[in-house]
Amino acid sequence: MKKAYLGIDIGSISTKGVIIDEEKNILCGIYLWTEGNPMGAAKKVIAALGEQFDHSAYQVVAAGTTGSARKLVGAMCNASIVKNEITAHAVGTTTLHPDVRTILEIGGQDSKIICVENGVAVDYAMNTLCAAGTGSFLSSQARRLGVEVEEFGKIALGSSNPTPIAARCTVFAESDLVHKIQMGHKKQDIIAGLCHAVANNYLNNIGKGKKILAPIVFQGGVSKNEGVVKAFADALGEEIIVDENGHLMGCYGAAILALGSGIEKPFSFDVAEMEFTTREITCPNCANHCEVICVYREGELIDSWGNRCERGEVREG
Amino acid sequence: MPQGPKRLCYPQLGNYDIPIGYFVRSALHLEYISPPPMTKRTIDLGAKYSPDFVCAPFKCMMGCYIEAMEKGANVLIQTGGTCRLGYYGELHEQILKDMGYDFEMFNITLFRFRHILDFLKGVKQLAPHARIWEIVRPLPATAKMITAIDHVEDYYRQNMGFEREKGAFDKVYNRFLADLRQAKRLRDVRRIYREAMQAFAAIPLCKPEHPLRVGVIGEYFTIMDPYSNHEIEKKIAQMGTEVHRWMNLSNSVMICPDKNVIKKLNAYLHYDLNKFPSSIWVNIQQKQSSRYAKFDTGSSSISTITLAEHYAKCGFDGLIHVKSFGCTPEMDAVPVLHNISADYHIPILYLNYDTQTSDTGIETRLEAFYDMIAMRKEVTPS
Repeated sequence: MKKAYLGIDIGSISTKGVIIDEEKNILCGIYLWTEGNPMGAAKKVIAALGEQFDHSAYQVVAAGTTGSARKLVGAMCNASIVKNEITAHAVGTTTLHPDVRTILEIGGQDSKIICVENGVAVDYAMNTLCAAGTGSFLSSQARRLGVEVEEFGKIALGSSNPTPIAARCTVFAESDLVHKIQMGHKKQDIIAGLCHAVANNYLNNIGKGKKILAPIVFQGGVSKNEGVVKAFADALGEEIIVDENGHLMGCYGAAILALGSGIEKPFSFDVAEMEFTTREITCPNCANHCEVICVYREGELIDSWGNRCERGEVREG
Repeated sequence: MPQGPKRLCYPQLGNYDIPIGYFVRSALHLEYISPPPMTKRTIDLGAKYSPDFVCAPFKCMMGCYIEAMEKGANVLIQTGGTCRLGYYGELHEQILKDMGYDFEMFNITLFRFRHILDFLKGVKQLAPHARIWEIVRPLPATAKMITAIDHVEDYYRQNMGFEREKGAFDKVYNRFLADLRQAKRLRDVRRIYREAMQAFAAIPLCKPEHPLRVGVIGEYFTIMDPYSNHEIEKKIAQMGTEVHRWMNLSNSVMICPDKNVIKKLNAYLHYDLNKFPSSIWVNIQQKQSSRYAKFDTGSSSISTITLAEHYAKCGFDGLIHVKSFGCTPEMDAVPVLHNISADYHIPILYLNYDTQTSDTGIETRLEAFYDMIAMRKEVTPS
């Protein structure tokens, strides 16, 4: 029986899972939508991985979680390590591309840049207070234009004259976009313009002051959009590498971190069948009104968090 | 004008309500109302009655004023400053008056203090019956309180991440603050300070020879008020780092760094409150950072640049820049920080605060920042 490691990345829009062996080879992977239900999505991911997984040859000895619902799902599947998505992405990408210098990443709600030197992250930036130019912006604009977001890239590549669109802020971009549509600009030019706007907005905000050196790896859901990839290549004048497993990089990193942590905790695919519930308690002890989240497995409290001080602690029993 | 005895209040800023309250009580013989510790309610109240695009400190102060008036305060103190803060006194006053509160605004900006003796004139306005001797006598104890708080906090930030027993530092620190509130004279302050430092020194540490060192720089209010910055210093310290911060009340308003005694005396004599908080050190730091900044962009921006360069030169592992959303002086400092970051190969984490920033987002960024500097240190031996 060989050892295997599970990594799950629960993002705002999509949930990703991967199982690796001790040599860090990907044994199986899955990508599906979170649909506002991180626990349900994680269960689906675990169930799907359980089907693809060779139970006779390997056994999962440790799990790692990352993404915005990492804590919740970490408690659910008894994770050895719960890590932020920036570290997980850096670890995942540098393992597959040891010579990478810059990682561009645009996800559903966030975007980040990670600068790498000698295989280790040396600087990073992440969007604060604003989600302009991320995946959710692109998909809402796709809906407005009546096209599937998956087709966005192909349509954009067909344009030779992208329409300039203001991309500083989602609200401005949207009104500019509506204006351009009503002025009679072609749909494919507008879509290409949107892709350029996303890339330029990224470089002007997140990438500000950062030296973007090649090789450049672009990942996250938006990297599947050829239009944005081309916009980045045009703006930076460098080749942009998009890994076929780019969408799995976060969970891959989480699995590697679980492997590296050396902490082995029993993991069972039965988690997919178990009943998990959460309850929100507003702590009444002061005016901070901390929102304490309690997680129950089959009615039994397994974890809680959200309290700023010990007065809000929720204990088992 | 409110009737009855004056009850003063200055917005919450870290733990500095202790020395301010002490001074008001013992020098002016007036009552001082400490605003209650900031909570979500403070911020919500402040945001509700403030202009939307004003900076977070304005909103925090607004919430503090309202909560202090609920506790009975009727004289609100506001300082001037070299950024928008210079107009905040009038704006706070107008909004609160429109809301129907009955109070007196003691707006230091309007006094045009150009001289140390003007300070006495201002104090006399508040307490016409106080004698000069009475005003001067508690000054040493007040000053000692401020430096004691700052020294104790410096030590706390630099070592609490390495305590063997969780909570040992917090226990001493909280007792120190509680004792300091009871202090009556200079002798008490000295004793309490000594006791706290001795208790700190007795805490067993497990500190590596070359610990990770992080410097915190940025906007005056957000950097000094742990509630406003979501306790980032404590959070990153507890991950296992030494946290350094130059900006505090002693360094910004009390200690003139000039080595020349005559110049130092002159700086104190011409203490310019309209240049708050930078009157006594801005020219010196300006010279130090002349490579990066030719002129001052207001408020604490020069110290942000000077200290960023200083920490970078000392070989720190990373810097955290904090500012409230829309803080113009600090925004002007950011491009300079980019240059410092590139020249000295030091990563800088930029944090922006507004009233609704969630704890989780900040924790994610801090954790990632810590992971990054820790991994970086592993591969580049010092």
